[in-house]
Amino acid sequence: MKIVVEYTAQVKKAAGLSREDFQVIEGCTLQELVKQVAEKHDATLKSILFPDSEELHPSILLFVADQQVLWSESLTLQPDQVVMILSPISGG
Amino acid sequence: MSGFPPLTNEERAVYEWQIWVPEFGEAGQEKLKDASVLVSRCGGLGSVVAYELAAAGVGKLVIAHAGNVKPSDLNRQLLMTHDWLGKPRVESAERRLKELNPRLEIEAIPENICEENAEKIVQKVDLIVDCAPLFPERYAMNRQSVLQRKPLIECAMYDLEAQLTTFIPGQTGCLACLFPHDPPAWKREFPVFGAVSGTVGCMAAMEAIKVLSGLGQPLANQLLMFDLRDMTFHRNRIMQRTECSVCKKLEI
Repeated sequence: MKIVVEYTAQVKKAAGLSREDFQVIEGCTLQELVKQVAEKHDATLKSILFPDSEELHPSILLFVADQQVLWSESLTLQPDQVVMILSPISGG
Repeated sequence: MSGFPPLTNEERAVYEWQIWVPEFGEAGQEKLKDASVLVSRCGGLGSVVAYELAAAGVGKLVIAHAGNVKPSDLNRQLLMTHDWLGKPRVESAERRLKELNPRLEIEAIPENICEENAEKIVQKVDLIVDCAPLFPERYAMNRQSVLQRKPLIECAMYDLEAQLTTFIPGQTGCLACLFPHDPPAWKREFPVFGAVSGTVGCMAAMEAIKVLSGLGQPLANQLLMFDLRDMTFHRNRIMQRTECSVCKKLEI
């Protein structure tokens, strides 16, 4: 099934694009998708998302269908959902 | 009688066109006149926030920003002027704000917000607009917003993108709910056009006006994100963390 992934700020810069489609298997979880995103791109993106471990860095936010979802939640994705991966910004 | 200080004839003349806004009116203007707001800092974002709040007739502004005006400020920090290069930023900001609104009460503090000064400075105001370029400053204001139960407008930009939300103690989470840890990827220097910081600055000023006057619906529990590179706008629901180290521990 298809999932649309959108990126913001430094995550977007590291991914090199603002959105892309991913083909995932039925029953794919949000965690599995984000790991797939990190594996697809170069090391810069992975160093932002997973700098120390297999756990997403807590400053990175995830949204599914416009709702914030915590990394610790076990969310199964639905076909054609939009997932946003957001990195915090502080420009003033 | 509204209980707020009445407008003078001069104020009625200056604010006539915004008093026409439905659900705002003279009562809304009186609330702004009675209100005080901290804007920290007065850079690309805070300059525009302070300018719009001064124009709208907020009674008192506390502006906090250390350092002197540099050439690289002038592409976006609209309260800084070329003739003030090398002189204190807050002096330039105060002068420009007074030119626009001589009735405005201004307290100009030549310091950036930190854990040591945040409590005293936040005590001076009813509402905070956070325009700081570094997360430790933002966290210091957030902590005092929670402790003193004062609304905090959070606005930020990067490149052609911006984020905006409004935290209201008791009704929403706080900045530490949104970003529990200082993001390692964030750097002090960032790409910026003044038109981007100015756009989100105007929106943040409008959030402050709404919260102070009761007009409309503020961005409570929602994060507005936009990218002016392709004009995409998103408004997403954000959550209050049950384990938040700030609002769940400090809120009275």
